[in-house]
Amino acid sequence: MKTSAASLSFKYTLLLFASLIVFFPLYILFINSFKGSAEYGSTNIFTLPRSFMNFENFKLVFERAHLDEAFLNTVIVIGLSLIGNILLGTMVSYVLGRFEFKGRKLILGLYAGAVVIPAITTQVAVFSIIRTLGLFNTHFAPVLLYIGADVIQIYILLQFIRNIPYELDESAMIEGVSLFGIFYRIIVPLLTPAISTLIILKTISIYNDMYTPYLYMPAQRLGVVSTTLMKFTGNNSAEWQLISAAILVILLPTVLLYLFLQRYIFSGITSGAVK
Amino acid sequence: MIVLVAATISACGGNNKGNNGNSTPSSQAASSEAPVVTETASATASEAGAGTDISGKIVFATNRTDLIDTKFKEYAEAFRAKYPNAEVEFEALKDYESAIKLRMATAEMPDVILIPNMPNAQLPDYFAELDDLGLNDVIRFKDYKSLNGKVYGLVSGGSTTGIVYNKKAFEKAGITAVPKTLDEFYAASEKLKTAGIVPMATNYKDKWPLYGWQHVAIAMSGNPEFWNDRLKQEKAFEPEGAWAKSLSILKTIIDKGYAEKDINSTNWEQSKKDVASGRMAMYLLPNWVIPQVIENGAASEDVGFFPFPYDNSGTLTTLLTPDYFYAVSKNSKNLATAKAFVKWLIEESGHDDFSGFIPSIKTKQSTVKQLSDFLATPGLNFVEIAPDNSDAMEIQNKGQIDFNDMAQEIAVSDIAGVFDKYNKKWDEAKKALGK
Amino acid sequence: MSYNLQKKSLIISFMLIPLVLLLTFTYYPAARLIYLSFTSWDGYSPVKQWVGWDNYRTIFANNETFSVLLHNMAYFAGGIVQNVVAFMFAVLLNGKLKGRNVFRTTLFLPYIMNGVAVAFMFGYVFDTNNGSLNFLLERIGVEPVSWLGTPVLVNFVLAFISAWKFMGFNMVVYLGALQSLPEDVFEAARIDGAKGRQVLRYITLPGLRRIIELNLFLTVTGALEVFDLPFVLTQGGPLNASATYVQKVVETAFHYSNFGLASAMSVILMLIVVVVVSVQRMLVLGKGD
Repeated sequence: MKTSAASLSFKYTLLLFASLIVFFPLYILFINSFKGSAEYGSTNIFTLPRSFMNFENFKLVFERAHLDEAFLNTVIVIGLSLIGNILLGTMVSYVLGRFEFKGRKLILGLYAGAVVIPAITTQVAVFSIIRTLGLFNTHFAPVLLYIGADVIQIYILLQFIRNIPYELDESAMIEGVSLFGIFYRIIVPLLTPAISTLIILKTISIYNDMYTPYLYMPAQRLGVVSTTLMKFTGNNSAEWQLISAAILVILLPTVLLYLFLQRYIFSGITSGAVK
Repeated sequence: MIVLVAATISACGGNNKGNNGNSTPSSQAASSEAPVVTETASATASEAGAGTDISGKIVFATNRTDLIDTKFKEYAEAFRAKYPNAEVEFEALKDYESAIKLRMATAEMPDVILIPNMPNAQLPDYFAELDDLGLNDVIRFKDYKSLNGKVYGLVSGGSTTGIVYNKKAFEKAGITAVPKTLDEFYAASEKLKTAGIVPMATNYKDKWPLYGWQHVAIAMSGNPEFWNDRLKQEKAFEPEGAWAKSLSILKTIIDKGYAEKDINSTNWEQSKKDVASGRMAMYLLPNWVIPQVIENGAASEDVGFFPFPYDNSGTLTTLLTPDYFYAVSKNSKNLATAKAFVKWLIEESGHDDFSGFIPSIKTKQSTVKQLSDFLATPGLNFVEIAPDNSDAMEIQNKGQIDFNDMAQEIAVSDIAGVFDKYNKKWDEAKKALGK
Repeated sequence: MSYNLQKKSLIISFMLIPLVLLLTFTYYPAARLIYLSFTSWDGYSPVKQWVGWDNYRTIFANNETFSVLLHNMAYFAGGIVQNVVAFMFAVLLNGKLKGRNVFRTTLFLPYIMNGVAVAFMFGYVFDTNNGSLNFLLERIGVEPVSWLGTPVLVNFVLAFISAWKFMGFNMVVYLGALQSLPEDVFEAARIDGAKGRQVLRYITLPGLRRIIELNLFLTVTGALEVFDLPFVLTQGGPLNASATYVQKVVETAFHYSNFGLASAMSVILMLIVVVVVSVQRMLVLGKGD
């Protein structure tokens, strides 16, 4: 197939158009977050702010939302959850990916089936369990809910494990390495790209989850970044410039994380499928 | 990936806008007392009532997510100044009703809460009696959250619905006196419209702001048991009744173009700015909106509040409704402290004034000038709403009937049709429940 | 220890905690949900009265419950478009193209954003009077449109926002799968003189069947369980036009204090998802085989 100039420019037009749609709402947020209240009222939505050095809105967001505390809580929850989640996820995938045993299909089915259960109406039962365990209003409540692997994670890990030649396991066995040793010394290291992908995706999904921390650790000192947005609704929500700043502040960490680490996200998802 | 996040943002301005709480009947006759200025209960009196050991940490659940880092912090400090061994923490629950019911279901309740929509018969299962706080004689809506003569909830403030308006906008349109009859009201609306001002912010799209029309209906009927009496009527929603009349005024406002240009794209938060700036002129809402309009840029002296003239008789009646009720969890580990906090909130925090409510204490006068002027309107009659009958509430829940849905629907179809539909819903639910 | 014994103990020790978690936090609550669907529980009081099939009868006697599923269809339609677009961009970006990493990064960006923040953000795009979109349209002489206030439009607008957020994810999954397809097969096809479209139809699509299935599975469940977008942006309005099934469930449970009925609605939702997914499986798998 030869790529003609026409088809090439068509491709770029499509891609540029899509990129424009992605950036359009963000751009609007960005320029308006630097406007003062009066300035916002008197200018139209596309007017550039008088100064990009007007950080008043951001300052207000930081102060009112206790973002320092919120970031700390978020980091604690994410850190603890990741350790458990990755550990358990790789263990499950290793077993499911390498061994044939009774109930294997059933377990896979259980993980897939979990997607079907509407979380909103099961929350009463989940809440009771968390309370019975005495974890309500502690960091461990969301952590416990996050460490279980989900079907997507298992899917990605299984793809990777299937692509690790079984001969590696066999030759290790000949050398007398235990199965745990194989898992620990061969499988896990080879899963690194997938694991880094999952770490990033999981970090982002926990960071963005507003519902779990809101429900299970509502104490003020346990506030997290995602719930910050709530503080800027209510009576302030006509202050669009302020909300714009709040949204940007909330988006920024994941966007930065993503931009710096995106290589690992894609390598995990894409090379996972490479034979 | 699968988005099943209960987004916890709802568009509430921080007030109780759902159905009014339900409870067993303990009717309160129409009262027409205008508040009298007296000193508020003294600090010494409050200490005597609450016992001596006021210490330990308590948690107060609130729906005001926007206040926990500002106003409520001041409350916590002020309370601590009074009781140095006590500490108050706040839990802000957006989407309050769902969240608090979940906590009640799992017996993980904060010490002080706002009572959600529930039958009064269940109050003793969750809450401690508050009779020992010595507020029974002075508090408004005393019997609203009580059972067998025991009080379980104390009101955080009261409200009354009327027209909140921008005086500058009226001036600009050449309106010299506030309308006293419905015809005058329409005439004023016409003038506003001619002057290029949106006469009334209905906030039709956001739906909950339509709840003022319920209050108009009850005021019009003069019957505190207006909704409860549906149980006795042949038709729950009478097509010629006060509710229909009230909604027909709303329909007229929409049809004549006295509402927002496109009622399907109203925006509650924006409307406050527009009323403040005079681009829109009026709200039919309770007093709590006054401070919010001022907060959005109107000078206090430019905001007025008058009783809604729902007919041409010249007599004016307004409805008094309670906002959320404070209650104390009966399992609170620091019961005395929790009770003391409720007492303090009512007597000393000034939260009712801050929120623009009619003060909880009968003898206290509101510092919101518009509100106290409104209540002092010569010849104004008051109806104090009765607690909801639990049977009526049960039928309403079973039939999934929402008054604001009805208000929304009349804009696009005729009142008779809408009322037929809801009467049918009511009858079916009633039959299903065997009431 | 023999490898057989090792295998057994490894399976047990590795699976124990994950399975306990899965059963405790997912399947026990689901079982509980089924139990509650046979009661008239109000959602908070200690009394849970057994009512048999009453709740299910109520649901089937009332067409309104299912009519909201029509609103979910908009998200499904949007989801299909989203998948097609995602696939198209995946094919585009799989080829040699200058700047493809930049485009890939850009198109995936919305996926990593906080869903509620995104909803708010689009609230400002689609606002009738102050929104940026109508502002642009007015410049070119188009009357302002009430994007979120027009019953026939609102679900598609919301579905668009959903597609905006999730398209990049589908794209990257497709991209990964495309890169895993053996290069030599394409090579052989090309030598045999296959055209681009033929390659797509006979080699690319069949090779991607499983991944297409996964993406469709996510699209279907996502469409059936939409909640946060309409909840934040429209609260189900105007006139219930954008109310979704899950939103009705939540309303029934907490606003109308009928948790039993809401549980029954959830159980039915699970069944619907299972049925739709099975049908889809049959269709997708049934073809090429």
